[in-house]
Amino acid sequence: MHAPDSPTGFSSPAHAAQLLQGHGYLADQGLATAIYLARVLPQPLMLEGEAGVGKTEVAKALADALAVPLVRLQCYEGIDASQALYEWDYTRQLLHLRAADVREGSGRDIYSEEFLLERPLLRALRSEGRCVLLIDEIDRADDEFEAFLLEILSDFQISIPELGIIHSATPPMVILTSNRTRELHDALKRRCLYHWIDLPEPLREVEIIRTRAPEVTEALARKVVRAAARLRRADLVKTPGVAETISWSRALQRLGTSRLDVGMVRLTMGAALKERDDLETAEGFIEELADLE
Amino acid sequence: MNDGEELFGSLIRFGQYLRTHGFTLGPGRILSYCRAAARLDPTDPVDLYWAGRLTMVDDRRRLADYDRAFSEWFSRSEQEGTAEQGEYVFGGWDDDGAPMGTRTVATTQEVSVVDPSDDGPGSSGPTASEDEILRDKRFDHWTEDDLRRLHRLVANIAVNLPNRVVRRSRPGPSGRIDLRRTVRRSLRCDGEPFHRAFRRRRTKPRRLVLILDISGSMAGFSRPLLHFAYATHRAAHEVEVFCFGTRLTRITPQLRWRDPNRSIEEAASRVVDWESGTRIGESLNHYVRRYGPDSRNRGSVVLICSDGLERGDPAALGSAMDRLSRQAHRVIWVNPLMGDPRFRPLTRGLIASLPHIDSMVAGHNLAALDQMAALLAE
Repeated sequence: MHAPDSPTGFSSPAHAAQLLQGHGYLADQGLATAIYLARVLPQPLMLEGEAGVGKTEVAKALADALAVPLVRLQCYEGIDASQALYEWDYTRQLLHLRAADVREGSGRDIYSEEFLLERPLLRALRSEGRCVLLIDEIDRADDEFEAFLLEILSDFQISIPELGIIHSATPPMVILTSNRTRELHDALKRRCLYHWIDLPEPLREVEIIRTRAPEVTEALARKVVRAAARLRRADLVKTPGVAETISWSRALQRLGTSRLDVGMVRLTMGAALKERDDLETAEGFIEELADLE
Repeated sequence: MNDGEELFGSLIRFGQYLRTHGFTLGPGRILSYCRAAARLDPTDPVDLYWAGRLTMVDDRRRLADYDRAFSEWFSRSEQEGTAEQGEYVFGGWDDDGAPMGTRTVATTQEVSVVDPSDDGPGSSGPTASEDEILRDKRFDHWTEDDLRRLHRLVANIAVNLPNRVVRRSRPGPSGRIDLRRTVRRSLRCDGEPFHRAFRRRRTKPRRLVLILDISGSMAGFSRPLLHFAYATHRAAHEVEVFCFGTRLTRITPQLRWRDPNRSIEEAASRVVDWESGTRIGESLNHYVRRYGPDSRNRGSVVLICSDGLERGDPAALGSAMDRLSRQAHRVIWVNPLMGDPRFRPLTRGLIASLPHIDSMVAGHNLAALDQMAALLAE
């Protein structure tokens, strides 16, 4: 078995799973294989899944496991190159020009490293592979940005007209997440490995809660998972994900309760359900959520 | 070495097999698959499964198809012994097995054959007065001949959707100061920001969402609106189209063809409940839960085309409309029954919806559609 700082980081999918577990993330075989392949091929990994199944968490745990920084680019509608890649520090350039007035100042040297503001993509490229780049919620960005990203993800190089081409010999590990609010371009998907993260099996979810929130007792975690499973079967606007079950368990543990009776469910349900309509729906079968001991 | 080649052969054949199941796989994808398999243990079915799934499937909805194809492939190759005969067995597999995947392929091919663009747009050139007569004719009284002109007539309706401000900005005469361009210009004046530049927020037309009732009583009116949706979409507007009778079907992807008839045919073949009963409440509820929260559908102009004859629970319709009115910029109800001057919105479904509708229009003939289009811009 390799040490974590071996060139690829992982020697097998099982090794990847084991390292991630050491950093608080339980990955199943599919995800572990996906991460292993993303690392050794190397190819960006596109993760999709319901909100709250831990897409973003994967990247965080992965950065910890590989002992490299996590560079995160949160996408939103209208994001463009100056927010994602680089921008010139205009204010400083202006000041510099003013100060240079006295000496012989030419416009050329204000386009140098000194005045360059690094944004996430450039930082990731310059890290020479020593980082995990998380491009979060790519479906929120618009088409133009996707096309721009495509260029970077295929060559791992960018050109800054004033400085020249910046190229990364060893590409960083790239994780993209999407919530499927819109269809992504085929061209982008083609360059990525694709993995759909399902909600975990109940037993696994108990394990996950216990890993993420060690203070929660196993008995309590089981009760919460059972209640969450019931909620997921109901017709809700927003079904609770793993993030919600974790925060629900934490809330209950904090209140010092080991029982999940109707009153307790009603008090704390807001940790799992975030829509008023859903709370009303759940009220209809609230006895089924409580444990009947 | 020979083993390795044989292995590659079988990997590639599996890729080809997936293609017969309706997966679009370029050589790049198959190469990725081979590289992934080579990194794992290619003799282990579990590893092969994941290598293929990660590299060749890029849509959750296809995962079930992939699983089916994979297990079929494996049960075959176990029966047939080595993968050597793979190519010969091919034709056979298509015919007997492959329920879902092959069907997808077959329908697309079928449709492209069925559609020999019989409607040359206005080849014989109908006269203007004929068009004038059609303007006031109720859609459900149109003859087949009239309908053939529908597309051209509907495409003439000018649509202007209201704008919304987006996050992006563009240079403008006033607004926020544009540092980048100001600095550029200042270089000319020795670093003095003498000519200032500005940026202002860009605007974009709002999205149009059409929700069409295609139940029995509405069939004659929904088709023109479908054409209207298609023409609006063609005119480079953002349009989303849904149909419902007893359940909601999204047909936007089917409207992408240049040939209007092909688009409409494909949309029609997607819908399973043509001319069935009506469950407006349930269908709209599905829309506001599944599609409404999508950030791109928020703040859109929503057109509901229905006669409002709800067979389900009117309270459910009311609450769905309430939610819809909060998600949308404007909700316009197109009700062909309004073409009749004696019409009063007294059905229980309509009464429940009325408080949440911005306006109700007739849309029962071309003239009314024109008026409706004018209303959209408000």
